[in-house]
Amino acid sequence: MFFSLILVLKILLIIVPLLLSVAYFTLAERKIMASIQRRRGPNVIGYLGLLQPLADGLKLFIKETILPTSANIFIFLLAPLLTFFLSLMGWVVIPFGENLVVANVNVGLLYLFAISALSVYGIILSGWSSNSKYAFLGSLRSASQMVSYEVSIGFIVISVVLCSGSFNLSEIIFSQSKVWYCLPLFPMFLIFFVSALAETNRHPFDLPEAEAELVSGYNVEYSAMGFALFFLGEYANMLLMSFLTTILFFGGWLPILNVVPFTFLPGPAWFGAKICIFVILFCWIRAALPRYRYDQLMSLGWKTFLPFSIGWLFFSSSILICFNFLPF
Amino acid sequence: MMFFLFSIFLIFCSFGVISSRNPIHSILFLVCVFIFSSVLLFCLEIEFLGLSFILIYVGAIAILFLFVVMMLDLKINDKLFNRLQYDSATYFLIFFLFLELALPISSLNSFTENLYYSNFDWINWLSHIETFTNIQAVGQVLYSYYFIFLLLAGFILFVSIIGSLMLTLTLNKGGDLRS
Repeated sequence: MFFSLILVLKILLIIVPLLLSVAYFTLAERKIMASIQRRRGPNVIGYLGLLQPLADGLKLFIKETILPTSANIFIFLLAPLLTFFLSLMGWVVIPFGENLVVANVNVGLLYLFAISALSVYGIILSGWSSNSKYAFLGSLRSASQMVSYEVSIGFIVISVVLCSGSFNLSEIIFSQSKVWYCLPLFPMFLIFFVSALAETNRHPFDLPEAEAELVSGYNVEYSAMGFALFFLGEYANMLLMSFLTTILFFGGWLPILNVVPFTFLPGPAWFGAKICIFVILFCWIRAALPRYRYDQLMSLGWKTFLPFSIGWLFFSSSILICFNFLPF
Repeated sequence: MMFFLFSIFLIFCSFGVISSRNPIHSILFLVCVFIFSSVLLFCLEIEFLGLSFILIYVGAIAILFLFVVMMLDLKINDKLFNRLQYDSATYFLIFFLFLELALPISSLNSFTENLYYSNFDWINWLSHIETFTNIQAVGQVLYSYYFIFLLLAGFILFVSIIGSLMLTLTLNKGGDLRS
Protein backbone atom coordinates (compact mmCIF):
# COMPACT_ATOMS: atom_id res chain seq x y z
CA MET A 1 0.00 0.00 0.00
CA PHE A 2 2.65 2.45 1.13
CA PHE A 3 4.90 1.35 -1.70
CA SER A 4 2.25 1.91 -4.36
CA LEU A 5 1.45 5.32 -2.89
CA ILE A 6 5.12 6.26 -3.22
CA LEU A 7 5.08 5.00 -6.79
CA VAL A 8 2.03 7.10 -7.69
CA LEU A 9 3.65 10.13 -6.08
CA LYS A 10 6.81 9.56 -8.10
CA ILE A 11 4.82 9.35 -11.33
CA LEU A 12 2.89 12.51 -10.48
CA LEU A 13 6.12 14.29 -9.59
CA ILE A 14 7.30 13.66 -13.12
CA ILE A 15 4.10 14.18 -15.08
CA VAL A 16 2.81 17.39 -13.48
CA PRO A 17 6.02 19.43 -13.91
CA LEU A 18 6.38 17.95 -17.39
CA LEU A 19 2.92 19.14 -18.45
CA LEU A 20 3.56 22.55 -16.89
CA SER A 21 6.86 22.88 -18.70
CA VAL A 22 5.21 21.82 -21.96
CA ALA A 23 2.59 24.54 -21.44
CA TYR A 24 5.24 27.15 -20.83
CA PHE A 25 7.33 25.82 -23.69
CA THR A 26 4.52 26.83 -26.04
CA LEU A 27 4.36 30.29 -24.43
CA ALA A 28 8.15 30.65 -24.64
CA GLU A 29 8.04 29.67 -28.29
CA ARG A 30 5.43 32.30 -29.08
CA LYS A 31 7.25 34.97 -27.09
CA ILE A 32 10.65 34.23 -28.61
CA MET A 33 9.28 34.10 -32.14
CA ALA A 34 7.43 37.35 -31.51
CA SER A 35 10.53 39.11 -30.30
CA ILE A 36 12.52 37.84 -33.28
CA GLN A 37 9.82 39.24 -35.57
CA ARG A 38 9.62 42.47 -33.49
CA ARG A 39 6.12 41.85 -32.15
CA ARG A 40 4.85 41.63 -28.59
CA GLY A 41 3.41 38.12 -28.62
CA PRO A 42 0.70 37.08 -26.18
CA ASN A 43 0.49 39.77 -23.50
CA VAL A 44 -3.17 40.11 -22.55
CA ILE A 45 -4.08 37.15 -20.35
CA GLY A 46 -2.30 37.36 -17.01
CA TYR A 47 0.81 39.35 -16.25
CA LEU A 48 2.91 39.47 -19.48
CA GLY A 49 0.62 36.82 -20.97
CA LEU A 50 1.75 34.22 -18.45
CA LEU A 51 -1.68 32.61 -18.20
CA GLN A 52 -2.06 32.26 -21.97
CA PRO A 53 -1.19 28.50 -22.15
CA LEU A 54 -3.73 27.73 -19.42
CA ALA A 55 -6.40 29.63 -21.33
CA ASP A 56 -5.50 27.75 -24.51
CA GLY A 57 -5.70 24.45 -22.68
CA LEU A 58 -9.10 25.35 -21.25
CA LYS A 59 -10.34 26.31 -24.70
CA LEU A 60 -9.24 22.98 -26.16
CA PHE A 61 -10.77 21.15 -23.22
CA ILE A 62 -14.26 22.60 -23.59
CA LYS A 63 -14.40 22.39 -27.37
CA GLU A 64 -16.59 19.80 -29.04
CA THR A 65 -14.92 16.54 -30.04
CA ILE A 66 -15.74 15.85 -33.66
CA LEU A 67 -15.61 12.28 -34.92
CA PRO A 68 -15.62 12.08 -38.73
CA THR A 69 -18.30 9.70 -39.98
CA SER A 70 -15.98 7.86 -42.33
CA ALA A 71 -13.24 7.44 -39.77
CA ASN A 72 -12.27 4.21 -38.10
CA ILE A 73 -13.43 5.36 -34.68
CA PHE A 74 -11.47 3.01 -32.44
CA ILE A 75 -8.10 3.67 -34.07
CA PHE A 76 -9.01 7.33 -34.47
CA LEU A 77 -9.38 7.64 -30.72
CA LEU A 78 -6.46 5.35 -29.95
CA ALA A 79 -3.86 7.30 -31.94
CA PRO A 80 -3.66 10.53 -29.87
CA LEU A 81 -3.70 8.54 -26.64
CA LEU A 82 -0.84 6.41 -27.93
CA THR A 83 1.20 9.46 -28.91
CA PHE A 84 0.63 11.13 -25.55
CA PHE A 85 1.41 8.08 -23.41
CA LEU A 86 4.51 7.22 -25.39
CA SER A 87 5.79 10.76 -24.98
CA LEU A 88 5.30 10.41 -21.22
CA MET A 89 6.82 6.93 -21.01
CA GLY A 90 10.30 8.03 -21.96
CA TRP A 91 10.70 10.23 -18.89
CA VAL A 92 10.98 7.28 -16.54
CA VAL A 93 14.65 6.72 -17.28
CA ILE A 94 15.78 10.36 -17.44
CA PRO A 95 18.12 11.24 -14.55
CA PHE A 96 17.43 14.80 -13.42
CA GLY A 97 20.34 14.86 -11.03
CA GLU A 98 22.63 12.49 -9.24
CA ASN A 99 20.36 9.61 -8.09
CA LEU A 100 17.30 11.66 -9.07
CA VAL A 101 15.75 9.09 -11.38
CA VAL A 102 12.65 6.92 -11.21
CA ALA A 103 14.11 3.83 -12.85
CA ASN A 104 17.87 3.57 -13.15
CA VAL A 105 17.88 0.80 -15.73
CA ASN A 106 20.94 -0.61 -17.43
CA VAL A 107 19.60 -0.20 -20.93
CA GLY A 108 18.04 3.24 -20.50
CA LEU A 109 19.25 4.62 -23.79
CA LEU A 110 17.95 1.61 -25.68
CA TYR A 111 14.63 2.00 -23.86
CA LEU A 112 14.35 5.64 -24.95
CA PHE A 113 15.18 4.60 -28.47
CA ALA A 114 12.52 1.89 -28.50
CA ILE A 115 9.93 4.34 -27.17
CA SER A 116 10.72 6.85 -29.88
CA ALA A 117 10.47 4.06 -32.45
CA LEU A 118 7.02 3.21 -31.15
CA SER A 119 5.82 6.81 -31.27
CA VAL A 120 5.73 6.63 -35.07
CA TYR A 121 2.63 4.46 -34.71
CA GLY A 122 0.50 7.20 -33.19
CA ILE A 123 1.14 9.43 -36.18
CA ILE A 124 0.71 6.82 -38.89
CA LEU A 125 -2.46 5.45 -37.30
CA SER A 126 -4.01 8.88 -36.92
CA GLY A 127 -3.34 9.61 -40.58
CA TRP A 128 -4.82 6.36 -41.77
CA SER A 129 -7.83 6.20 -39.48
CA SER A 130 -9.12 9.71 -40.17
CA ASN A 131 -9.76 8.61 -43.77
CA SER A 132 -8.77 11.88 -45.39
CA LYS A 133 -6.21 12.51 -48.11
CA TYR A 134 -4.43 15.36 -46.35
CA ALA A 135 -4.05 13.53 -43.08
CA PHE A 136 -2.90 10.38 -44.86
CA LEU A 137 -0.23 12.14 -46.91
CA GLY A 138 0.94 14.08 -43.86
CA SER A 139 1.26 10.94 -41.79
CA LEU A 140 3.15 9.10 -44.53
CA ARG A 141 5.61 11.95 -44.82
CA SER A 142 6.02 12.27 -41.12
CA ALA A 143 6.48 8.56 -40.51
CA SER A 144 9.03 8.06 -43.26
CA GLN A 145 10.93 11.10 -42.05
CA MET A 146 11.03 9.82 -38.48
CA VAL A 147 12.06 6.32 -39.52
CA SER A 148 14.88 7.52 -41.74
CA TYR A 149 16.36 9.93 -39.23
CA GLU A 150 16.13 7.38 -36.46
CA VAL A 151 18.78 5.33 -38.24
CA SER A 152 21.42 8.05 -38.12
CA ILE A 153 20.47 8.88 -34.53
CA GLY A 154 21.09 5.23 -33.73
CA PHE A 155 24.62 5.34 -35.09
CA ILE A 156 25.38 8.57 -33.21
CA VAL A 157 24.09 7.05 -29.99
CA ILE A 158 26.27 4.00 -30.55
CA SER A 159 29.38 6.15 -30.93
CA VAL A 160 28.54 7.91 -27.64
CA VAL A 161 27.96 4.55 -25.96
CA LEU A 162 31.35 3.35 -27.21
CA CYS A 163 33.00 6.31 -25.53
CA SER A 164 31.14 5.94 -22.25
CA GLY A 165 30.88 2.17 -22.09
CA SER A 166 27.31 1.97 -20.85
CA PHE A 167 23.70 2.28 -21.94
CA ASN A 168 22.81 3.65 -18.54
CA LEU A 169 22.07 7.36 -18.79
CA SER A 170 23.53 8.22 -15.37
CA GLU A 171 26.75 6.45 -16.21
CA ILE A 172 26.96 8.24 -19.53
CA ILE A 173 26.79 11.52 -17.61
CA PHE A 174 29.35 10.35 -15.04
CA SER A 175 31.73 9.40 -17.81
CA GLN A 176 31.67 13.01 -19.02
CA SER A 177 33.09 14.42 -15.78
CA LYS A 178 36.47 14.97 -17.46
CA VAL A 179 35.23 16.42 -20.74
CA TRP A 180 31.77 16.78 -22.24
CA TYR A 181 31.26 14.73 -25.37
CA CYS A 182 30.34 17.81 -27.39
CA LEU A 183 34.07 18.58 -27.70
CA PRO A 184 35.53 15.28 -28.95
CA LEU A 185 32.36 14.32 -30.81
CA PHE A 186 31.43 17.77 -32.05
CA PRO A 187 30.24 16.77 -35.57
CA MET A 188 28.13 14.05 -34.00
CA PHE A 189 26.51 16.63 -31.75
CA LEU A 190 25.58 18.80 -34.74
CA ILE A 191 24.15 15.86 -36.66
CA PHE A 192 22.31 14.65 -33.58
CA PHE A 193 20.67 18.01 -33.04
CA VAL A 194 19.60 18.33 -36.66
CA SER A 195 18.30 14.76 -36.61
CA ALA A 196 16.42 15.56 -33.43
CA LEU A 197 14.76 18.45 -35.25
CA ALA A 198 13.74 16.07 -38.01
CA GLU A 199 12.67 13.36 -35.56
CA THR A 200 10.31 15.71 -33.76
CA ASN A 201 8.95 17.09 -37.07
CA ARG A 202 10.14 20.59 -36.27
CA HIS A 203 11.28 23.42 -38.48
CA PRO A 204 13.05 23.39 -40.90
CA PHE A 205 11.86 19.80 -41.40
CA ASP A 206 8.17 20.26 -40.61
CA LEU A 207 7.09 18.89 -43.97
CA PRO A 208 4.21 16.94 -42.40
CA GLU A 209 2.41 20.15 -41.59
CA ALA A 210 3.44 22.25 -44.55
CA GLU A 211 0.42 24.53 -44.41
CA ALA A 212 0.48 25.39 -48.07
CA GLU A 213 0.26 21.78 -49.25
CA LEU A 214 -1.27 19.68 -46.51
CA VAL A 215 -3.59 21.65 -44.27
CA SER A 216 -1.89 20.69 -41.07
CA GLY A 217 -0.61 17.18 -41.63
CA TYR A 218 -1.71 14.10 -39.77
CA ASN A 219 -3.88 15.88 -37.22
CA VAL A 220 -6.24 17.72 -39.60
CA GLU A 221 -9.32 15.82 -38.57
CA TYR A 222 -8.72 16.11 -34.85
CA SER A 223 -10.41 18.71 -32.72
CA ALA A 224 -10.50 19.49 -29.00
CA MET A 225 -8.73 16.97 -26.76
CA GLY A 226 -7.48 14.75 -29.56
CA PHE A 227 -5.59 17.68 -31.00
CA ALA A 228 -4.44 18.75 -27.53
CA LEU A 229 -2.99 15.30 -26.86
CA PHE A 230 -1.06 15.37 -30.13
CA PHE A 231 0.16 18.84 -29.34
CA LEU A 232 1.29 17.91 -25.83
CA GLY A 233 2.95 14.77 -27.12
CA GLU A 234 4.84 16.68 -29.78
CA TYR A 235 6.17 19.29 -27.36
CA ALA A 236 7.00 16.69 -24.71
CA ASN A 237 8.99 14.84 -27.38
CA MET A 238 10.86 18.04 -28.17
CA LEU A 239 11.72 18.48 -24.51
CA LEU A 240 12.79 14.84 -24.32
CA MET A 241 15.05 15.33 -27.32
CA SER A 242 16.69 18.36 -25.73
CA PHE A 243 17.16 16.34 -22.53
CA LEU A 244 18.75 13.58 -24.57
CA THR A 245 21.08 15.99 -26.35
CA THR A 246 22.13 17.42 -23.00
CA ILE A 247 22.69 13.98 -21.51
CA LEU A 248 24.65 12.63 -24.44
CA PHE A 249 26.77 15.64 -25.30
CA PHE A 250 26.58 18.30 -22.59
CA GLY A 251 27.18 16.33 -19.44
CA GLY A 252 23.68 16.40 -17.98
CA TRP A 253 23.79 17.84 -14.47
CA LEU A 254 27.57 18.39 -14.43
CA PRO A 255 28.79 21.99 -14.09
CA ILE A 256 31.04 23.54 -16.73
CA LEU A 257 34.13 23.27 -14.57
CA ASN A 258 34.30 21.34 -11.35
CA VAL A 259 35.70 24.29 -9.35
CA VAL A 260 34.23 26.47 -6.62
CA PRO A 261 32.09 29.19 -8.19
CA PHE A 262 30.43 26.75 -10.58
CA THR A 263 29.72 24.05 -8.04
CA PHE A 264 27.51 26.33 -5.90
CA LEU A 265 24.64 25.81 -8.30
CA PRO A 266 23.02 22.38 -7.69
CA GLY A 267 23.05 19.77 -10.44
CA PRO A 268 19.40 19.96 -11.55
CA ALA A 269 19.76 23.72 -11.96
CA TRP A 270 22.66 23.20 -14.35
CA PHE A 271 20.55 20.64 -16.17
CA GLY A 272 17.67 23.11 -16.45
CA ALA A 273 19.92 25.86 -17.76
CA LYS A 274 21.27 23.59 -20.49
CA ILE A 275 17.75 22.49 -21.43
CA CYS A 276 16.70 26.15 -21.72
CA ILE A 277 19.45 26.75 -24.26
CA PHE A 278 18.13 23.95 -26.44
CA VAL A 279 14.53 25.08 -26.07
CA ILE A 280 15.50 28.57 -27.20
CA LEU A 281 17.45 27.03 -30.08
CA PHE A 282 14.36 25.07 -31.16
CA CYS A 283 12.30 28.28 -31.26
CA TRP A 284 15.05 30.32 -32.89
CA ILE A 285 15.46 27.79 -35.69
CA ARG A 286 11.71 27.85 -36.25
CA ALA A 287 11.72 31.61 -36.63
CA ALA A 288 14.88 31.87 -38.71
CA LEU A 289 15.04 29.06 -41.24
CA PRO A 290 12.94 28.27 -44.33
CA ARG A 291 11.47 24.84 -44.90
CA TYR A 292 13.29 22.05 -46.75
CA ARG A 293 11.87 20.38 -49.83
CA TYR A 294 10.92 16.78 -49.20
CA ASP A 295 13.46 15.12 -51.51
CA GLN A 296 16.17 17.37 -50.06
CA LEU A 297 15.17 16.23 -46.61
CA MET A 298 15.38 12.58 -47.57
CA SER A 299 18.69 12.94 -49.37
CA LEU A 300 20.11 14.83 -46.38
CA GLY A 301 19.11 12.00 -44.08
CA TRP A 302 20.11 9.01 -46.17
CA LYS A 303 22.96 10.30 -48.30
CA THR A 304 24.71 12.72 -45.96
CA PHE A 305 23.98 12.02 -42.33
CA LEU A 306 23.89 8.22 -42.46
CA PRO A 307 27.24 7.69 -44.25
CA PHE A 308 28.89 10.37 -42.16
CA SER A 309 27.69 8.92 -38.87
CA ILE A 310 28.74 5.41 -39.88
CA GLY A 311 32.14 6.74 -40.90
CA TRP A 312 32.50 8.61 -37.63
CA LEU A 313 31.51 5.48 -35.72
CA PHE A 314 34.36 3.57 -37.38
CA PHE A 315 36.74 6.47 -36.84
CA SER A 316 35.97 6.91 -33.17
CA SER A 317 36.06 3.19 -32.44
CA SER A 318 39.42 2.83 -34.16
CA ILE A 319 40.77 5.80 -32.19
CA LEU A 320 39.50 4.22 -28.98
CA ILE A 321 41.16 0.91 -29.82
CA CYS A 322 44.44 2.46 -31.02
CA PHE A 323 45.03 4.51 -27.89
CA ASN A 324 43.53 1.89 -25.59
CA PHE A 325 40.85 4.35 -24.45
CA LEU A 326 38.05 1.80 -24.38
CA PRO A 327 36.20 2.20 -21.08
CA PHE A 328 36.33 -1.49 -20.16
CA MET B 1 2.20 -15.64 -13.21
CA MET B 2 2.81 -12.54 -15.32
CA PHE B 3 4.48 -14.72 -17.90
CA PHE B 4 1.38 -16.85 -18.40
CA LEU B 5 -0.91 -13.82 -18.45
CA PHE B 6 1.09 -12.19 -21.22
CA SER B 7 1.38 -15.45 -23.14
CA ILE B 8 -2.41 -15.69 -23.13
CA PHE B 9 -2.61 -12.12 -24.47
CA LEU B 10 -0.05 -13.06 -27.11
CA ILE B 11 -2.07 -16.05 -28.25
CA PHE B 12 -5.22 -13.93 -28.50
CA CYS B 13 -3.41 -11.30 -30.54
CA SER B 14 -2.00 -13.89 -32.89
CA PHE B 15 -5.53 -15.17 -33.43
CA GLY B 16 -6.45 -11.59 -34.20
CA VAL B 17 -3.75 -11.40 -36.89
CA ILE B 18 -5.28 -14.18 -38.93
CA SER B 19 -8.94 -13.68 -38.18
CA SER B 20 -9.44 -9.92 -38.63
CA ARG B 21 -10.96 -8.82 -41.92
CA ASN B 22 -9.12 -5.55 -42.29
CA PRO B 23 -5.43 -5.96 -43.23
CA ILE B 24 -4.49 -2.87 -41.22
CA HIS B 25 -6.07 -4.42 -38.15
CA SER B 26 -4.14 -7.62 -38.67
CA ILE B 27 -0.89 -5.67 -38.86
CA LEU B 28 -1.78 -3.88 -35.65
CA PHE B 29 -2.41 -7.26 -34.04
CA LEU B 30 0.98 -8.34 -35.36
CA VAL B 31 2.54 -5.32 -33.65
CA CYS B 32 0.79 -6.36 -30.43
CA VAL B 33 2.22 -9.86 -30.85
CA PHE B 34 5.72 -8.44 -31.15
CA ILE B 35 5.25 -6.20 -28.14
CA PHE B 36 3.86 -9.00 -25.97
CA SER B 37 6.65 -11.33 -26.97
CA SER B 38 9.19 -8.71 -25.95
CA VAL B 39 7.29 -8.35 -22.67
CA LEU B 40 7.76 -12.10 -22.24
CA LEU B 41 11.48 -11.56 -22.70
CA PHE B 42 11.28 -8.85 -20.02
CA CYS B 43 9.66 -11.37 -17.70
CA LEU B 44 12.62 -13.67 -18.27
CA GLU B 45 14.94 -10.72 -17.44
CA ILE B 46 16.42 -10.57 -20.93
CA GLU B 47 15.69 -6.89 -21.29
CA PHE B 48 18.37 -6.21 -23.90
CA LEU B 49 16.93 -8.69 -26.35
CA GLY B 50 13.40 -7.51 -25.57
CA LEU B 51 14.21 -3.90 -26.33
CA SER B 52 16.06 -4.75 -29.50
CA PHE B 53 13.09 -6.87 -30.49
CA ILE B 54 10.83 -3.83 -30.14
CA LEU B 55 13.34 -1.65 -31.98
CA ILE B 56 13.82 -3.93 -34.96
CA TYR B 57 10.52 -5.71 -35.40
CA VAL B 58 8.09 -3.05 -34.26
CA GLY B 59 10.09 0.06 -35.12
CA ALA B 60 11.28 -0.98 -38.54
CA ILE B 61 9.74 -4.10 -40.04
CA ALA B 62 6.12 -3.69 -38.96
CA ILE B 63 6.23 -0.02 -39.97
CA LEU B 64 7.29 -1.06 -43.46
CA PHE B 65 4.46 -3.61 -43.59
CA LEU B 66 2.04 -0.93 -42.47
CA PHE B 67 3.32 1.45 -45.14
CA VAL B 68 2.95 -1.05 -47.93
CA VAL B 69 -0.49 -2.20 -46.86
CA MET B 70 -1.72 1.36 -46.49
CA MET B 71 -0.55 2.22 -49.99
CA LEU B 72 -2.21 -0.81 -51.58
CA ASP B 73 -5.81 -0.48 -52.58
CA LEU B 74 -7.14 -3.54 -50.83
CA LYS B 75 -10.71 -4.63 -51.20
CA ILE B 76 -12.03 -6.23 -48.08
CA ASN B 77 -13.54 -9.52 -49.13
CA ASP B 78 -16.09 -10.43 -46.53
CA LYS B 79 -18.32 -12.96 -48.20
CA LEU B 80 -19.42 -15.81 -46.01
CA PHE B 81 -18.45 -18.43 -48.55
CA ASN B 82 -14.84 -17.22 -48.73
CA ARG B 83 -14.60 -17.04 -44.99
CA LEU B 84 -15.79 -20.59 -44.65
CA GLN B 85 -13.50 -21.77 -47.40
CA TYR B 86 -10.29 -20.28 -46.09
CA ASP B 87 -10.84 -19.95 -42.40
CA SER B 88 -11.96 -23.50 -41.83
CA ALA B 89 -8.73 -24.74 -43.37
CA THR B 90 -6.76 -22.30 -41.23
CA TYR B 91 -8.41 -23.30 -37.99
CA PHE B 92 -8.05 -26.94 -38.88
CA LEU B 93 -4.30 -26.49 -39.28
CA ILE B 94 -4.09 -24.43 -36.12
CA PHE B 95 -5.91 -27.10 -34.18
CA PHE B 96 -3.41 -29.75 -35.23
CA LEU B 97 -0.43 -27.52 -34.53
CA PHE B 98 -1.84 -26.76 -31.12
CA LEU B 99 -2.36 -30.45 -30.47
CA GLU B 100 1.20 -31.13 -31.49
CA LEU B 101 2.42 -28.56 -28.98
CA ALA B 102 -0.01 -29.44 -26.25
CA LEU B 103 0.64 -33.19 -26.11
CA PRO B 104 4.31 -33.02 -25.14
CA ILE B 105 3.62 -30.22 -22.68
CA SER B 106 0.89 -32.18 -20.97
CA SER B 107 3.18 -35.18 -20.65
CA LEU B 108 5.83 -32.91 -19.13
CA ASN B 109 3.37 -31.68 -16.55
CA SER B 110 5.12 -33.14 -13.53
CA PHE B 111 8.40 -31.56 -14.59
CA THR B 112 6.96 -28.07 -14.97
CA GLU B 113 5.19 -28.46 -11.65
CA ASN B 114 8.50 -29.18 -10.07
CA LEU B 115 10.02 -26.20 -11.80
CA TYR B 116 7.44 -23.62 -10.88
CA TYR B 117 5.90 -24.67 -7.62
CA SER B 118 8.74 -26.05 -5.61
CA ASN B 119 9.81 -23.74 -2.81
CA PHE B 120 13.54 -23.59 -3.02
CA ASP B 121 14.70 -21.11 -0.48
CA TRP B 122 18.16 -20.31 -1.59
CA ILE B 123 20.18 -17.26 -2.48
CA ASN B 124 22.13 -17.12 -5.68
CA TRP B 125 25.41 -15.99 -4.16
CA LEU B 126 27.11 -15.90 -7.51
CA SER B 127 24.84 -13.11 -8.73
CA HIS B 128 25.64 -11.13 -5.60
CA ILE B 129 29.37 -11.46 -6.07
CA GLU B 130 29.61 -10.88 -9.78
CA THR B 131 26.79 -9.37 -11.80
CA PHE B 132 26.74 -9.50 -15.52
CA THR B 133 24.59 -7.20 -17.56
CA ASN B 134 22.72 -8.73 -20.48
CA ILE B 135 24.85 -6.96 -23.00
CA GLN B 136 28.10 -8.23 -21.50
CA ALA B 137 26.79 -11.78 -21.40
CA VAL B 138 25.60 -11.69 -24.99
CA GLY B 139 28.84 -10.11 -26.15
CA GLN B 140 31.07 -12.61 -24.37
CA VAL B 141 29.31 -15.54 -25.96
CA LEU B 142 28.68 -13.99 -29.35
CA TYR B 143 32.22 -12.88 -30.07
CA SER B 144 33.95 -15.97 -28.75
CA TYR B 145 32.01 -19.20 -29.20
CA TYR B 146 29.63 -18.18 -31.95
CA PHE B 147 31.75 -15.79 -33.96
CA ILE B 148 31.35 -17.87 -37.10
CA PHE B 149 27.57 -17.41 -36.96
CA LEU B 150 28.05 -13.68 -36.46
CA LEU B 151 30.22 -13.56 -39.57
CA LEU B 152 27.70 -15.60 -41.52
CA ALA B 153 24.87 -13.30 -40.46
CA GLY B 154 26.97 -10.34 -41.52
CA PHE B 155 27.55 -11.91 -44.93
CA ILE B 156 23.86 -12.64 -45.39
CA LEU B 157 22.99 -9.03 -44.56
CA PHE B 158 25.67 -7.82 -46.93
CA VAL B 159 24.29 -9.95 -49.75
CA SER B 160 20.80 -8.61 -49.08
CA ILE B 161 22.11 -5.04 -49.16
CA ILE B 162 23.80 -5.68 -52.52
CA GLY B 163 20.62 -7.32 -53.81
CA SER B 164 18.39 -4.45 -52.84
CA LEU B 165 20.86 -1.99 -54.36
CA MET B 166 20.85 -3.92 -57.63
CA LEU B 167 17.05 -3.95 -57.63
CA THR B 168 16.72 -0.20 -57.21
CA LEU B 169 19.70 0.86 -59.28
CA THR B 170 18.79 2.37 -62.61
CA LEU B 171 21.66 3.70 -64.66
CA ASN B 172 21.05 7.39 -64.87
CA LYS B 173 21.27 8.50 -68.50
CA GLY B 174 21.24 12.24 -68.12
CA GLY B 175 18.03 12.16 -66.17
CA ASP B 176 16.89 14.33 -63.31
CA LEU B 177 19.93 16.21 -62.11
CA ARG B 178 18.25 17.64 -59.04
CA SER B 179 17.96 14.32 -57.28
